[in-house]
Amino acid sequence: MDKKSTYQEDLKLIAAAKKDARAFAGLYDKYFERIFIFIFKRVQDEAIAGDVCQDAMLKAMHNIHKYEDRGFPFSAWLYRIASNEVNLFFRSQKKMVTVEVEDKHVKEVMMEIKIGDTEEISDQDKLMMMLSNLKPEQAEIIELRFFMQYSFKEIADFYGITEANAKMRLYRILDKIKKSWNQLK
Amino acid sequence: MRKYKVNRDQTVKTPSKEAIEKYKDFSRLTHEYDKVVKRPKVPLYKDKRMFFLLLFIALMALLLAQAGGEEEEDEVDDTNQTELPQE
Repeated sequence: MDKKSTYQEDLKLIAAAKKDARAFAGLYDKYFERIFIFIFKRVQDEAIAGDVCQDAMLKAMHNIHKYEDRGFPFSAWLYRIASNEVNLFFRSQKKMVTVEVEDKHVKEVMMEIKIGDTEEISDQDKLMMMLSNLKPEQAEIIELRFFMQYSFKEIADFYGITEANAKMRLYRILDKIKKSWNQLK
Repeated sequence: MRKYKVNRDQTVKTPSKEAIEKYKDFSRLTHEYDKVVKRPKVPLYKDKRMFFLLLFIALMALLLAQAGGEEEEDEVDDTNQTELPQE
């Protein structure tokens, strides 16, 4: 199914769900797996991902009447809700939640910012420490781009902004990391 | 709160289709939705802001009633004094 027909199909499903909440089942069936995987990649626990996904879907179902078509895919709206739920989950945790990142993705970030030695474990750990100290909203865009391998188009859809803005937002944060890295040296 | 850690040894786990299906339950979602939508309204006094507003109104009414009562007493005293027979 191409993007245009998916978009049209979504609009029909949304219109039906706005009339009758039970009709949200169509959107639920279509997007549950994607949203679950998105959440799982960030929380890395199946049971937590299941609960957070259900909460996100409940919010989407409850607020579907507020959804406005602005030309972005419906999935972007769902991803935003899911992302907010993940951030809420992290905030609600009194203990630290450890998120594991593949080393190849860490190396990508280091190469992009041009910092440290990509093979040096201490440099990789230093970068992880800096990411952990970022605000959740700032860390999110790095997660999307490097750890979840989103394209700039997907990031732009996710935030409801242009691709140029998405790039600007990401590179501003990468700049910030580079500056902090150089100060720590 | 979250902390990032580099995973150097294992490949990153991804949930299987079966695992995802286990958590997919639209009837549970509709049940939760109904609970949210048909939630009984909280009485006014159980809302913190409304409670203080009601308390404020009650206190104002009490003060006004007391002030009104004192004025009436003063008026009664005045009339009593004027009605005293002159010697």
